[in-house]
Amino acid sequence: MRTELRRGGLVMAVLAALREKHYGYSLRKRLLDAGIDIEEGTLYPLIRRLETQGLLESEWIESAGRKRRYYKATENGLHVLDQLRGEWSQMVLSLEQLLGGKP
Amino acid sequence: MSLVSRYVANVQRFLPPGMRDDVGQELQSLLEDRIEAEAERVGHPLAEAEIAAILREHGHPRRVAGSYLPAPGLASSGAFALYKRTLGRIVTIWFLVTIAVGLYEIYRDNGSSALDGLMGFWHGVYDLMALLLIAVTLVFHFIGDALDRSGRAWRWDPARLPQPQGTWLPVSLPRVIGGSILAMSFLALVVAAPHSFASSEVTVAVGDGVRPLLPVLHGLALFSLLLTIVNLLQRHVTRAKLYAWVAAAIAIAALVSWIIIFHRVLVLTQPGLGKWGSLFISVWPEVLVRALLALAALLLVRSAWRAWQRARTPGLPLI
Repeated sequence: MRTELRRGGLVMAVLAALREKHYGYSLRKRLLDAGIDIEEGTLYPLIRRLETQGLLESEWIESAGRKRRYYKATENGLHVLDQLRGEWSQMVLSLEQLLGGKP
Repeated sequence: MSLVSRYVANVQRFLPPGMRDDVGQELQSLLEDRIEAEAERVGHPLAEAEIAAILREHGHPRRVAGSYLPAPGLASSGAFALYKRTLGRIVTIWFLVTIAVGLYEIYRDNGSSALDGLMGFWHGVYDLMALLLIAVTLVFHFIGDALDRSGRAWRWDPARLPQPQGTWLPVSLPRVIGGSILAMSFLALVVAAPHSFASSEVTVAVGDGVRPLLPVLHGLALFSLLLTIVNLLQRHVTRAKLYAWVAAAIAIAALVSWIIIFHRVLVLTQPGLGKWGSLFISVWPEVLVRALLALAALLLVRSAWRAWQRARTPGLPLI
């Protein structure tokens, strides 16, 4: 249940974190710092899928003798993030209304 | 080769060729980052056991590869490669059983009912095969579903993953299909050619010395077909496969050579021509068939030699 609840928000979390350039491990750390613990086996395929959908772009950058693939949200990705954010806010309002009567 | 590289190569093994390089490069970089960060955290370079623990946490190569692929639907992505392989094996075994029993029905001397019996048998075979495929699909669907729901990782040890010594080499498709065509041609030459020469005037028979060897030749041709199917399913060169091919090719070449040296292959007879006349009309097809068989034996020896050399080349990937 918890996994399913989180799954919907992951795309939004990844797009939001990738407003800045990150490579795989630094993205995971950024999400972890924000309190979102996402398994590597879920995160890395997810960012590749988002790239295929045109929401992210990537480039290989070499620094200190190591090559890393950096990801960043595209214009389209940021547009989708805005839309998702609107949907999310609406959903939170609705849920809070429903949950309001419960202890 | 480091444990990480071995792990990455094993993930690549379950990916389609177009994705292997890209995913492999990225996965290698991600895992190195993770290991580096962990080493910084604990304050010393990680031992192999610690790296193995990180890889185990990352997931079984089959499962990791599955997560990079689109959801296949029939089975969970982690179990899909195993599902596909299981189906492939069932289809292969079924295919061979069908051919073997089919040949038995054709050569069984039971008059005009042979074809009817064969058709009935095939109907039964395909009905049962359809049921088997459905059963396997359902089993994998439920297993995958249960694993996904429980979130339990499969028990495995990164240190026991196979050791590749280079990139995983795909077997080229034209070579696989070429092998299959050659095997079928060989089978056609041995089984169908004598019958196609026959007419109402001329009787053609396989030589007495060769007739008992026909089932063996069928078996060897079927072995070649089996190898083709395995190559199509696996699409990877392995040392074991190369040695198997060397043994099979040498065995077939030896058998063919023995036939053309010691036995008469075809016997053509035509009533009224007499002994010398019949001998004359049987000479040219005999020469042709012997030449073709000799060529096949030479090609097999050459193929076996190449496979032997390749198997002894260092760096050949092992599965």
